[in-house]
Formats: sequence, structure tokens, C-alpha cells
Amino acid sequence: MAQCIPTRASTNPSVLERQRVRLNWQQQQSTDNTDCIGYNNIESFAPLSSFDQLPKNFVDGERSRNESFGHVHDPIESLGDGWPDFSMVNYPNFCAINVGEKANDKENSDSSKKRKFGNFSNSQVDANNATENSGSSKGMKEDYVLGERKGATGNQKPQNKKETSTETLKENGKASRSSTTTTPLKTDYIHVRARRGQATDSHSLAERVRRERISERMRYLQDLVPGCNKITGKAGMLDEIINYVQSLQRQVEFLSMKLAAVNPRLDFTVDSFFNEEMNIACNTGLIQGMNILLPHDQLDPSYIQSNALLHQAQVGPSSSGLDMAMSTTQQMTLQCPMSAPMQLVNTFMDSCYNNVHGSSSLWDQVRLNNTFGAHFSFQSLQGNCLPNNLKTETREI
Amino acid sequence: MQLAPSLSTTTFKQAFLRSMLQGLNAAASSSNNMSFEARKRAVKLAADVAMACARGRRAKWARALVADLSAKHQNNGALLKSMLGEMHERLVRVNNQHCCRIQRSKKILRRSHRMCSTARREKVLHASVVAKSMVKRRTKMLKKIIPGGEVLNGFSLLNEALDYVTSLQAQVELMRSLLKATEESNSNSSITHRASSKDQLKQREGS
Repeated sequence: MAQCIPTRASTNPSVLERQRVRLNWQQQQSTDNTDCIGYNNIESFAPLSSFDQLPKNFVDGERSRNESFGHVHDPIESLGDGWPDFSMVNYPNFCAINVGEKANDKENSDSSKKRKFGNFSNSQVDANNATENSGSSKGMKEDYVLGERKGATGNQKPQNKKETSTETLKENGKASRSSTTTTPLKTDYIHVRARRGQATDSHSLAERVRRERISERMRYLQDLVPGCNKITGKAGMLDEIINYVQSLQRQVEFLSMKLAAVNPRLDFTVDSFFNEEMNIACNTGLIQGMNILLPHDQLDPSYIQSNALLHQAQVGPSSSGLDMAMSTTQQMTLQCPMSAPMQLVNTFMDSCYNNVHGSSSLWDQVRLNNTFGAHFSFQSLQGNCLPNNLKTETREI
Repeated sequence: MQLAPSLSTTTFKQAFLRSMLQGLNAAASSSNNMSFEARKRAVKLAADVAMACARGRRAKWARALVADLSAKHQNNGALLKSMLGEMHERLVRVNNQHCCRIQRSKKILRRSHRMCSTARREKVLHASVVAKSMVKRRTKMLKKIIPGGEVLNGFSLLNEALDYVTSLQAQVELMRSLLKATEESNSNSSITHRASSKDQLKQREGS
């Protein structure tokens, strides 16, 4: 998709002009230091006229999500040597947009200078950044700028600069690539670098970002829906997704029919699930965690006694606290501890997460669950497969 | 806030199972003279509601699902309320606010679209146009399938689809295991019944 950069003629700002604009920017910076405008992750760099534009939020859908990101500065700052004072706010990650790919040597040298500078200033830049800087000081083709957000959690994973497609990482929890131009110690930004030979105005960049987000979602869906590895293209993928959702819905109907047939009175109680082969080692914790509703009239008193004894013997003092905590949730009528293992329902729980937790970890989990109260947060089933960023996104929905 | 995968999975499934059993018990209390069809509908309702509740308010499809279910049949209303408990008002109320606003904007969109299409007399069937229409048709179908998908645009539709698919998978698994459990317990109880009846026969013979 080779398109002419329309403003090529003006993509080589002289050093003087750049300095002038930098001064202007610095003045502007001092005035609106306390002002977090909003997240701007796409900036157009090339045309000189764009320097007068204030950074705008091109990607509209992102505004609400990214309000935590601070003000993203004018691209001119990347040219200068004076690092602005970012100490106030925790800004997001920073990737510079540099449009003039077939740049003149001045820009190249400047950028190489910046890169080295960036390396010194940002101690968190990965090793691959250093190699990248040394290796491709001249190539401005598809540059990514990596950076790690300060105060990031351990879940961040720095990405290597390998593929040629631009990717913008806007979510909070992700690590984006550090800027080769500016990586101040306390603030990071996300910029999008336009690809070589592509249009550089804000609309096309925003569109590209949007397209990439959609393709990212399609990739996740591809992982979820079985048998979609070979299918390329949106229409085919959507076909598969539709078929899969329809088949799942039909399965639900079929299973509900079978459940209704199997149990004509619709009484799914723990009593009926009681299985004589008690798998004590792994199940008691799970059973306590589930706290199944049990109508009183169906309880056999001797059964309760034996269960209580079993319960006391195995689980110990921590269980009583758990029961009390659990009984306060929703409308639980269960008052006596129920330690009868539900063998098959347990296998359901087990199959869903591969490792069977020891009882101690389950107490913690259930306690956590209770502190959240009735607000259950959804996380994906195959949590091990989906990356963390997806989880944060789904949480933010 | 990022929870560990295992914790979150457990939380969701525990919530799901809990709500499901709660719902089934609520259905059981009013199931004395139900036909098979009605029972099946009640089970399905319980399953859907449990799924939506376990997901919580944060997913648009969950809210839309609850709203659809409560709007469909009048006799579902009471059942639904008993199943949901306190979440019912929250889920239904929030949904009503969103509906009206979206309808208005769709009208405007349709009008402008009509004007645009009438302005263009000739239609050239490029490959890109064909591809786009294919994708458009499929997204329309997807919107019909996913609850609450009518008012979502491309990206959020895919998001909701992702969410919905994972919870559907959980729902299917849960129902399968419930089914298996009841089947096994039925077979066990029948075995024990047979054994006890044999013992009784022996006792009678012996005495």
C-alpha cells in the first residue's frame, strides 16, 4: 500500500525552525504543566503546519478509557536536547511518530543522538533496544519505540522489535516500547509510527489503529473458536464465530432438555449428588467453597452428624470461619457444614483449572471472593491462554 | 486490577454454579405441574440467568440478556426475580436507560445512508465492495445472535462476542457436569435401592 506522502516537501525542517518550535513548545509546556488534556497517542509529525496543532485525541473510542494517561507532548520535544519536566504525573508510554522515513541525514543523526540519550536516561529500556539503536541508526523504516511504564506491575512484558507492523499499546497494564527519541525517567508516551510509504494524516493513522485493534480481537477469537487456525480473512472468521456461537446455544438448549428429562422434579440438591466413594483429599476444600443450597427438610439428621464429624476431623478450625463467611452471601439457607463431596461436580471444577488447589489456597480464594461480595468479576476461562491485557480489557468493559 | 487466572476462573465458576443451583431450586419450588417443555424452559432460563449474574453488570451482553428474558414471557417475571434476587433491579434498570438513546441515532444514520446511496446511481462491483458487503452481512448476523449486539459497533461487538463465547463455553461445561452428576447419582440410588430390596427379600425369606 504505497502511497505518496503528500507533504514530503516540507518534511525536512531545518534545525533553526526546529529549535524555534521547541522554544515555543517549552513555553507552552510551562503554562499548561498541570493540565492533563487526555490521551493522545497519535501525532502527525511531518508537516510543519501540524506543529501548531495541539495534540488532539484522534482515536475517539479511546478517550474514556485512557483518561488516566497524561498530556502527550508535541512531537517537537523529541528534537530537542532539553528534557521537559515530567515529574508531576505518571504518563503513559511513549512512542514517537516520525513520518519522514526517507529522512535526511540530519534527522538521522539527530535521532541516533536521541536514541543514545534515551538509553542513558531510561534505565528500564531493554537490551534489545540497545542493539536496535546500534544496528539501525539510519533505518527509519518501521520503528517502534519501547518503553516501560513506571510503577508497572510485574505483568508487563516488553515486546521485541521484530515484526514490521505498527502496534499501538494503549492499555494500562501493557508495556509499550520505549521511545527512541525521549524516554524521560518518569513519564512515557505511546506514539504510533507511520509505516514507510503510507499516509500520515491523523485520520488514516487513527483508522489504522482501529483496524489493528479489531484484528487483535479477531486473533483472540481465533484462539477461542476451535478450528480457525487456517482461516484468514474477516468474513471467514466471522462465519466461524457465528457458527460456533449458534452451536453453543443449541448445546445449551439440548442440555437443558436433558436435565429436565433426567430430573423431573428439578431438585438438584447435594443429597442427590452424594457419592459413596469420597475423594477426601482434594474435595473437601472445593465443597466448602461451593456452599450448595440445601433445603432443610431433605437432610437426614444422622447424615448430618456423620458429616459434621468428618468435617471436623479433616478440615479443622479454619472451616468454621469460612462457613460463617460464606453463609452471609446471597440467600444461603445452609447452616450446617456440608462436607459430602460432589464427585462429579468437583471434576467439573477440576477440569476447568488444571491444578487442584490445596485447601489452604482455596480458603484464601473464597475469602477474597467474599470480600468482593456480590460483584463477581469475569475472567476468561482459559485464563492461561489469553494474555493479561485481554483480561484487563474485559474487566474494563 | 489483574487477578490471577486460576482465581478468576474459580470465582466465576463458583458464582455460576451457585446461581445456577439457586435458580434451579427456585424453579423447583414452582414446578409441581409443569410440562416437560415448561421444565426445559425453566432450566434454560436458570442457566442463562446464572451465566449473566456470574458475569456481572460489566458485560453489556449480560444486561441485555436479562432484559430480553424478563421482557419475553410474562410468566418468567416472577421466576426471574426469585432467581436474581437483588441483582434484578440493578440489571434491568440500567438497561432501560441506554435503549432510547441508541434508537434515535440509528434513524439519523439510516436517513443519511439512504441519501448517500440515492446520490450514487451506478454501482461498480469491485472486489473490495464485495468483500465489504460480505463482512457487513456477517456482522449483522452476529449482532442478532449476541444479546445486546444490535447497538454495538465493530470493535465492541467483537469484544462482547469474545466475552459471550467464553461464558457460553463455561455454561455448557457446567450443565454437562450437572447432568453427569445427576445421572450417576440416579444410577447409584437405583443400585442401592435394588440392593436394599434384595436384602429385604432375604430377610423376609429368612424370617
